[in-house]
Amino acid sequence: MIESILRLAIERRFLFLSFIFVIIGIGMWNYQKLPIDVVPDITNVQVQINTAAPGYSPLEAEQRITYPVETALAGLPRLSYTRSLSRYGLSQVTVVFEDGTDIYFARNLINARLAVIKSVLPSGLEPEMGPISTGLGEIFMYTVEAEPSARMVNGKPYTATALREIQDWIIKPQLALVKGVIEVNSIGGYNKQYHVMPSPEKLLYHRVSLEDVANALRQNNDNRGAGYIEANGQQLLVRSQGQLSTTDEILNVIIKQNDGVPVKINDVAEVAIGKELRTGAATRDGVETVLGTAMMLIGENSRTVARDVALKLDGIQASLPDGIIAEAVYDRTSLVDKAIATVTRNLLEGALLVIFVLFLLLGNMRAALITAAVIPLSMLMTITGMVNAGISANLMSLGALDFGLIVDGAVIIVENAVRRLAEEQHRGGRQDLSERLNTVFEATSEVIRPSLFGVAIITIVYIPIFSLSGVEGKMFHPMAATVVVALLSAMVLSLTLVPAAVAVILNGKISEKESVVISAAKSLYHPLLLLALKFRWLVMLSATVLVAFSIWLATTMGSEFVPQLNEGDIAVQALRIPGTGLEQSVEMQEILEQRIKDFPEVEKVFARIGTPEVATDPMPPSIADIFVILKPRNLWVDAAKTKDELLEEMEQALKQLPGNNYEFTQPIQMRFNELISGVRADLGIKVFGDDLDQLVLTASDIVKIVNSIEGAADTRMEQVEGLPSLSVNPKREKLGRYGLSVVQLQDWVAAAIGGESAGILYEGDRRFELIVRLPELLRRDVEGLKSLPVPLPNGDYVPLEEVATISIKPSPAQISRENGKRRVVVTANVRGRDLGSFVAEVQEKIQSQADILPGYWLEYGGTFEQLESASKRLSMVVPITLIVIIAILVMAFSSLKDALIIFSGVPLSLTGGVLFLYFREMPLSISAGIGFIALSGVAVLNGLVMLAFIRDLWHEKGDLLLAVTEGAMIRLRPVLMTALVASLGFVPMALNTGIGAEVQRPLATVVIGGIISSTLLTLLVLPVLYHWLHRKENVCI
Amino acid sequence: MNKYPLTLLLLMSITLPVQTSFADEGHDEEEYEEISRINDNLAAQVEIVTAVASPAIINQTVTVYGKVTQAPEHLNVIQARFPGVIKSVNFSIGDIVKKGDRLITIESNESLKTYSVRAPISGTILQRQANPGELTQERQLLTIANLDTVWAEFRIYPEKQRKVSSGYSVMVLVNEQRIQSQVAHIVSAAYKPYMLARVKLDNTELKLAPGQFAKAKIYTGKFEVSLAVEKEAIQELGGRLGVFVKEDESYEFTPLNLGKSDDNLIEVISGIEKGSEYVSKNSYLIKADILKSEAEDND
Repeated sequence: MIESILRLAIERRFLFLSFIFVIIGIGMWNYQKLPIDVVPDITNVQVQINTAAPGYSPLEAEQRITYPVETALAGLPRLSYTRSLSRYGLSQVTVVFEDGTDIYFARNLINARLAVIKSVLPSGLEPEMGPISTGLGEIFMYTVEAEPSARMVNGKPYTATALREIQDWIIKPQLALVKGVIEVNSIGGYNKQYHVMPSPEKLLYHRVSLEDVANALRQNNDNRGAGYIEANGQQLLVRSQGQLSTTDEILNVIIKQNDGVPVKINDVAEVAIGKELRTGAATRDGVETVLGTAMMLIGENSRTVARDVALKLDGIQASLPDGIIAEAVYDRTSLVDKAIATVTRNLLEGALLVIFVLFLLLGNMRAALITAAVIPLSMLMTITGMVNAGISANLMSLGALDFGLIVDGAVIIVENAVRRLAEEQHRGGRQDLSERLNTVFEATSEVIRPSLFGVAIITIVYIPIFSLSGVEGKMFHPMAATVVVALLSAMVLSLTLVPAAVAVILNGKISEKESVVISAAKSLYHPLLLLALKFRWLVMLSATVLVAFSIWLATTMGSEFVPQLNEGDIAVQALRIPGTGLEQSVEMQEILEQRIKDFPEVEKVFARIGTPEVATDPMPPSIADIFVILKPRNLWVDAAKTKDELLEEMEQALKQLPGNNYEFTQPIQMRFNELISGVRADLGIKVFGDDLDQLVLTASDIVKIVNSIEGAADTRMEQVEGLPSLSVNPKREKLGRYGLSVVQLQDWVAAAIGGESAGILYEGDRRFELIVRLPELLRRDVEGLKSLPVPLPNGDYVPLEEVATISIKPSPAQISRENGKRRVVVTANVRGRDLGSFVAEVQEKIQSQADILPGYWLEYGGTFEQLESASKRLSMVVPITLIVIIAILVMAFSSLKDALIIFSGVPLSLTGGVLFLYFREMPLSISAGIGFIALSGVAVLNGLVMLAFIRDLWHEKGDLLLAVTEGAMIRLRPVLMTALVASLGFVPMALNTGIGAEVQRPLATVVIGGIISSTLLTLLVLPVLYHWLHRKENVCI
Repeated sequence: MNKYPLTLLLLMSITLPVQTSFADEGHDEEEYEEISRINDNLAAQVEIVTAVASPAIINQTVTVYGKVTQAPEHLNVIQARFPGVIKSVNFSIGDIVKKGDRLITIESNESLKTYSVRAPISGTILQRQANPGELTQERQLLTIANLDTVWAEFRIYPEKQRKVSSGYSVMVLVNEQRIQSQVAHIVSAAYKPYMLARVKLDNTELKLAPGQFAKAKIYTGKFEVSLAVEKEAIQELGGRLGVFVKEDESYEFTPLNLGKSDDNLIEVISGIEKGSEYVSKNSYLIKADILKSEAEDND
């Protein structure tokens, strides 16, 4: 079949060549649609269901909201698991679906379920699904600030409330229209609210309750339409306007009449624009600010969306009041551009190097061009494949592309064709067309098999990567898929276009000058080969020693999971003790940011504290996400300073500040951590059950047990307690005596302290809540609350402490649940011991020692689980892959012995990779691992090319030694060429230091090192091995 | 000759190290040290303020609510001694009368003589039901009230009854005015669950109206204590209350045995020496610093 395709390609060569235009056309078209990002999206398919419940404590939020929502979701198709957390004023249920579930399908299902439970939830609470976005979604952030000289309409400086109003009503509605933006999230400042703050004495004097005030406001704040009438043929709409619009109008609302005297709001309360009870704040350069975040819809192109948002924001500037500035503080475009620039440069330089090598070694311009043409064509085909497979272009997916590898197949074909055509010309002068076509066909078919097999094998070695699951899978699947697509494209090209092009272009005189490099290499290689054949035991022994040594070396090397992409910016999480209030947090933040700002390398620093309006990241007020945007490197005072050094200095400087704990990450990395946020330790023991106190007890028992086991490190329990709460507990008997019910008391407490919504005030489009609550001074005074008069139904009153006990108690700061049950996690890491036995011992000890009450149960999870499953899968898939490769080799040679000889190149090639890693002081990582995988493919390809030729020669001539030496000499050029192009193609990647290069560097390093060693060894060890193993055989044809 | 176990091994060794890469994230669950070190420059920057523990006077107060009432001895209702016909009424509502002023002239039905009714107290005419020509019958004719002194009656609910007694000084807040006075006496209110603490107020300047709502702080105790700290300074750490004592540039948590307190100060029975320098403002920062290793993000 292969031969008939070849024949067709050569005969219909012009038709085949015209396909180039089709490939280019489709490729360019798809390129427009290719999503471009920095890293692959590792977020799982998840939907957040947020229910804002102002005033609800964690326990109430869990009981009233989280539980019904969770229960309703149980049993959804393709559901993986649910987890939830209940905090002050917020219930968040995260629903994780199996990978590959359509997000819109999932959201539809959830929507249907939520509609059913609406009646179960407390009235006024609305569960909402989070934005359809991912960990890569926060692409653009900006702050809204006022110049110091800017004044509001009333002549005063801008307040945080006014800035937030501008954000919410001028900027946000416009930004939300940008295509690809799913949500514009605000944090910082205060939502503008009108506060009606009655004084308790005046209320009592006028015999008015808080409820009366709220009711009066509700009754006096509405517009009504009353249909229309026709008068003299004209239609008149009838409407009655009663909406309140100004503070004065509010003050004049009449609450009731006492002895014919109206009691107005004015008589009992003050009205002012007040501050909401906010859950989050934002700061920039140490000053409170308003921060907006544009979030991108899943699957959009972050570069274009961020750019569009930036453009739009510039446009919006014109519509802002004088002196108000909306300034971008974080723009993903720049990072994507930098990363893509790195990749493009790597690919471009790699391609140029490859072309250069081809010129050098082939010594034929036209042949080199044909081979080089494979590069852009296969790239265009790859892009088409990526678009269709939904893979985005990013550092990872493009990171393993080596044009050297891709053109290997083509190189072998073209090289052979050039050689054969030149030979023919030497022999018989000019050829006619059919003769030339025939030579081309023969030359191609001679090597097409090994070259196809080789490419197939390189493709196959990538298969184990597809068996990775979870985060590793999401990270590396695109990479493997891209490489496989590229290789397959190249394979198709070398089967069709390359022979066609050779037939068309390599006419006339074929100049095959043995280039200087090759002849020099040959003159060096020949004596070496002979020497190696003579001292074969030494060669084989040293090869074995080398392999053993590098395996030992590998075990001593450090390791990391995935080399971390340097995003260029820094994210710091400042953690304060639970229970820290928002104002306190903001205060601590101010000095912290000043410190960071003092670094000359820092351009700007801004932070989110607590939870934003849409709770995409529900942090308590004690935690701040700080973004540190660095100046471009050329503006640094000390240009030689590395980012790590800067981080180190920054950490030292910040450590001095009291009361903060820090975690240093990077913006995208931090967002991923927040979204994935499973158990991040080696072992997680989840305790499930009903009673929180009991859960904590059991969990602390388990902590003790785990700590007693050898190898346990960092054992800790999830923090549950820690939020002090002011409990107002009714004294039922007393309440009864005063004729007050518990609900009446609670309503009063809620309205007095938390505030009660009494409707909405409209100002054009803008709408602001009208809140009735006690004046700030009274609310804040814990002691004073005790004597606050609570009105009785009979018009009398009683101090609060008479009917309720008031105390400050620690209470749960948050309640976590998983799969519908309360949960406390104990986590532990393992040091100096293997994970498996540790886990087994923990399980055994807990079973025998821990007292787990009925109704409580444990689950074991953590990284060990993923490791176990990954190891299990890999230990299945890797051998199968190897067997498949051997099977292919056996198919190619119909000899197990030869297959194994070729296979011996694999461990030999690994030695170089390990050594190079070692010399460049790089740790082992999955990226490096993928390099090793690619390497095994190349090693096999090299061996294949060499061996196939030696064998053919041996069968032809019957002399083993001659076949080995001559075959090796003839194949020197293609082997060197494939090796050189493959390794040189990666050289830019290995040396680049730009943004994003760190992800690709280990991979490239491994491949370069490996190819050097494998080429040397293929050239020496393989002939030796072949000679030795076949020395007793006769040619048996 | 089969080398694939080697490859497998290598591949494994690539994935296995994942376990150690996460190991550094945790923190040791050690008992925290109760000392925080902050240099003075920084302390000033973050507005940590210290004070010296010293003897102090603690003024305990309770807050109570009540009403302004008319003093009963300053309210007079004028009636006719002998029934008759009113001949003249000399004052009308709002007029100010002096004790002894002739208010009304009445012609008695029995003697047919006219007699005058004089003002028994000085005060203001509040009500007038009498007009010349009318019969007096048993009616109230005029009401005179003297508002130069009024009483404020504050409800003392059982929770506070033990703390309050007569003679205590009191700060009355009414109409945004503060009046210093004393609790004259405490009487029980009939059929009510509370007692009334009555405070006499001089109303010549204040112009308070009976019925107005009033709030008061009663000084329930004035104690001279040998050692007190500011209330704001107190923090809770490990279930104990205490302050952070400054020694050079370190701040150590010192649990205290606490006594009486008022709005600002709290008595120290034991725990620190007189003259110790303790953190009086922003003490939360130091608590946060000591406990910071416990701070974590557990989303």
